[in-house]
Amino acid sequence: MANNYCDAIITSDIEIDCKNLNVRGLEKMAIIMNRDDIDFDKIEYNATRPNVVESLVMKAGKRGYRATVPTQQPFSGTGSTLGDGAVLKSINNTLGMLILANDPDVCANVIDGLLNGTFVAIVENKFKNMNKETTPGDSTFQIYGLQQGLVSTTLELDKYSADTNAGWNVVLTEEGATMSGIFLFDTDIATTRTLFESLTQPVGGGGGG
Amino acid sequence: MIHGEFKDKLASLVERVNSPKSRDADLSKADKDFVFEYYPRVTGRYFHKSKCSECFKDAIIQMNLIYNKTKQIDMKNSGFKLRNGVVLHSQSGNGVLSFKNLTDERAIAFIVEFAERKVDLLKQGMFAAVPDNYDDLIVAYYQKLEDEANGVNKEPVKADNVTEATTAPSEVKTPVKRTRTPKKSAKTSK
Repeated sequence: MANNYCDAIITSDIEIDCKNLNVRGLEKMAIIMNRDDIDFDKIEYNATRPNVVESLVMKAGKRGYRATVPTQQPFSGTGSTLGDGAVLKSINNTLGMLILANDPDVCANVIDGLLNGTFVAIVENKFKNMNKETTPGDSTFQIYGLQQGLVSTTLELDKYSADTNAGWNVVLTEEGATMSGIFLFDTDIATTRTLFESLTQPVGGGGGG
Repeated sequence: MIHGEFKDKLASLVERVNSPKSRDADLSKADKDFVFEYYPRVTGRYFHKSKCSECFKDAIIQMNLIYNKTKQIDMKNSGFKLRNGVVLHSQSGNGVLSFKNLTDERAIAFIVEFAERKVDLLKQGMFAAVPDNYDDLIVAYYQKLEDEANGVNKEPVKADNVTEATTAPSEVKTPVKRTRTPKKSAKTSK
């Protein structure tokens, strides 16, 4: 039997499409899910593209939650960096988020949960990649926290901060991911957007709309 | 898709297919998905893609004729609810099933289609809720198939209302394994 050393090799040319250049930034609305609410048994990856998730289903009675940051640079601070590993290198992902509110309900229903919870987030890139020949739109939705989970590494409120309007500055971090980027894409962009929207549908018995 | 959006979409398709040189090949996948989804809801009959060259064009014209006469479309959902994140893909040309287009007929059609592939959608928990009259809906579905196979002409489905599905989901019931043969004492669900 051949030895498997998990050789890390590149397998395609590094080229850019000058008519389809990458665009920076994220849209104003993302989805955040409690990681335990995801039915990992039903996650399906594309058979030939390991960085593409085609199916992501919540457990019965569970839903994701919309996070809206209506600023000029929503979710600023979101990105990926190289992480050191004792054995293998990894990727650390961060999700930056401003919660422009501070009241008893926000603290009870959101901030307290962010304090010690583990989360998965789906953001919508401004770069949709609609001009590519095959699978246009597959760059639209990107998932953070699917492998290790996002946990809070910054949770602060400054009553006089002009940057946060006295709201909460939140940074969620996933350390030790083995995949540089995971995208949500099912068949085409319309189907994928439906899947994205379906994650936050109200569940019976409350939970908010 | 709300009723108004349906009307606009149908009108735009009719305008395109009425062009003398229009062909099915000119229709996009989204256009064809629209036909698969809404033809049954307007006509009360299932749309089967056969070997005809202008099936979709004919279907669109027929939908328009019937809709202009009845002004009704079946949007009824008696209580089906998919789990969040579930988007089902038909392998029989019925498009996708999601929370956006979930009606009694489409839900039953998908449940039956998947059952024929030995996939029990209810057992897998793909549905968060099914309506109390689930058994009746299954029977009615098979009865309709049988009627169509026998060439029985049916009046277009007249829905009690034409609003989006708003029925609150009921508890998930133990799925009933169904065979293709409907009961003799079938009764309609409407």
